[in-house]
Amino acid sequence: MPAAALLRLKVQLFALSAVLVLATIGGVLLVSRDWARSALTEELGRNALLLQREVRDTVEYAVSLRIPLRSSEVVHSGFEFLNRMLSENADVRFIAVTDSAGDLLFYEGTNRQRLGSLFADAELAATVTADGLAMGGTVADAIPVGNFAITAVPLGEPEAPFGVLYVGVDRRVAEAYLDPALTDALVLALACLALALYLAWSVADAACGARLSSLHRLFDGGANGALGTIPKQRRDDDVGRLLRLCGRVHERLADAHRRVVSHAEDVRNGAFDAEIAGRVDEQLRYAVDRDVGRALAKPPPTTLDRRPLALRHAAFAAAMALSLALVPAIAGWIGGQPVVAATAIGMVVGAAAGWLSTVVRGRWVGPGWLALLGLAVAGLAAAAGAAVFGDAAAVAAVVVAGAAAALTSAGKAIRIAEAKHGNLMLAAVTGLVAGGGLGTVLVGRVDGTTLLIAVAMTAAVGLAAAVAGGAVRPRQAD
Amino acid sequence: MTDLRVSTRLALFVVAIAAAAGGAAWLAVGLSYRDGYREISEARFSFIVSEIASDLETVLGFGFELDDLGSNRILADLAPLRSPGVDAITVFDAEGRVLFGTDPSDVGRRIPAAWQGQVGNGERFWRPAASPAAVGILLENGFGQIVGGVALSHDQALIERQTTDAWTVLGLMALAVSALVAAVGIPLAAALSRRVRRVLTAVAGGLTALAGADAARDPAEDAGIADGCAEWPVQTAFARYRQRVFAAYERLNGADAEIARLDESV
Repeated sequence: MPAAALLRLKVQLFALSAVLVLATIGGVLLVSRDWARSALTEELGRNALLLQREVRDTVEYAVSLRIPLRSSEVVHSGFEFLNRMLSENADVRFIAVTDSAGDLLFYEGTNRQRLGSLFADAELAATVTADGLAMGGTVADAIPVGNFAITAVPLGEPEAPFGVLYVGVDRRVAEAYLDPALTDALVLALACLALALYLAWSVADAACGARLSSLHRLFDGGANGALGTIPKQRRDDDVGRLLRLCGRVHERLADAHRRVVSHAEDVRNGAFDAEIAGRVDEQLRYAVDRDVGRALAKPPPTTLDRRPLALRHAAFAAAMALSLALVPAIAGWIGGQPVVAATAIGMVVGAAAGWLSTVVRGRWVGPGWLALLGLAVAGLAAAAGAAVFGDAAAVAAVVVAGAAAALTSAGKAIRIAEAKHGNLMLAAVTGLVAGGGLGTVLVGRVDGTTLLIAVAMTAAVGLAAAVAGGAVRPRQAD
Repeated sequence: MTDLRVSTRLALFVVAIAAAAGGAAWLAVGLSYRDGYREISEARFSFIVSEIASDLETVLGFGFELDDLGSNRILADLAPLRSPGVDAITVFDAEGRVLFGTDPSDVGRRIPAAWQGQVGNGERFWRPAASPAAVGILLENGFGQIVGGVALSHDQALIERQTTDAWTVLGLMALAVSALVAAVGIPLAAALSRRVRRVLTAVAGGLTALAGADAARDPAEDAGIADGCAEWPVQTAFARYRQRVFAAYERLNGADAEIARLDESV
């Protein structure tokens, strides 16, 4: 096999796929984080609006009792009130009240100097006009000033406000809510890189290695004296075309051989001299039959033994599943989350059993055996999850993992039953690996939508990987 | 020779990688958004309940009974506090009987069993996991005795709908980025397979010549086919195969010539 060149192709493919993974994840994060941050800021604005109403009602109630806004009692209780409001709304950074002339009466959460610089913002200042105040108090009116989203509402009647209430939400708070996305993206990026490594290997093998290996065996056989008839090829790919060409070469050689034999027999039969007939026989026996004739009678190897390839893929997939699943398994037990651990262990068992079934003499150890094992593991894990948590979504995740294990065995069984259809097991194990990465992130956060997305994504990637990795193949020969 | 199969497989490989990475990023951002959205919503609900409890406890501190507070004034105070996602606000006594709330038809009924269990726990602030989703606070009178509670039940379906909309928007963004990356990646992957295609093309050319009518041996062609054989041994094997085929032809031609010579000598 062309080990060096093929290895280089695999490494190049993996490097390319690593760049693609990082570019995609980075790009999506870059584009979607902005949108998510602004959407969350809007939601935070709703909370600020609620707080505004509470403060406004209290201040307006005090004024309706004809208590001067600047009286010391109001100022004292006002500070206490604002302080309590802030403590109950961790996302709101400051509250401030000014009179109609713009003089600061109460403020909490920041200092006067900073408020002064914020209120100097032209857009905010334009909002705090009679017209602007009349429209104030809606979430859409939150104005970004520096790191804050500030809302301003009038106190009193909109036509004749006696003051303005400002509430500032720190826009960085919304970013803080999105910080876990970076950690999750990192975990999933690692899972994607593992998947990319596996795919790079299997695609390079299927797309190039297997083809070149098949041709290498054919030419090697021919060079060692196997120039017999090549069965007709149905496959319409490049290897199929090369095999057909090779078949024509052998047919042409066989024609030439037949012509020489025929010529020799004609000459021998027409020869009256026994010595001449003997020399023709000698040519026929030694020069033609012994060398070319035997080679033409010996069929060259045209089929590819795929077992070593499947074995390597299975071992590789099992190693990845182990590395991906053992971490959440250990974390699950330590973190007191048996469902996580059960999921991960189910994956490990499924992958390991799939691997073993390939290793053990390269044969299926019993049709359906591993399918039953996978289902049993899934069932036990589901039962354990249901008993401990009663969380249907978590149990569903376990069942998905178990189903992947079952699919692994089913794929293997199909492969054994119909060897010409390639290795579906590889696709199943690939899905299993993708599920491991997803499971790590989805732990404790599974709901209907996320489960649907995860299953759809795993299925789509698994299918693409199956085709790209060589699970779907045309029939090789008649 | 066209090499559609290799190109197709590599294109699928790139699509699978881009889809996996795009989906992963989609999940990562979507999960954080969803969790953040829920947290912010729950903070709002908690604030509303805290404010109502604070108002009620102020009045209870003056010596009023909770039963006496079901006035229009309190209910009027509850109304503006309703915000998106708030289903109902319910005030109940220590026995779990609804005293008043935003839904008058609930008055006199028992609160749900899940809430009752939370009240029994004695935790002042509670958030039962079971349906209906709610947050609540136990109310104390001026003597520190638990006299009842206030609960806010929220519309989980509305929150789910809004997060589902966010999933859709984020999914479309991820799809666009993935498609862009795949569009760039497919030609790059195809370029990586150029060397393989070159080998297959060289072999195909050699086989075509061998299968032709006049398969005259050309040493220069042998050298060309063997070029790069250190990288791809299939070329070495083909060169040996080609020599073997030529050797067979030479053998046959030599024998035929000898037989013809013998025939002439006769």
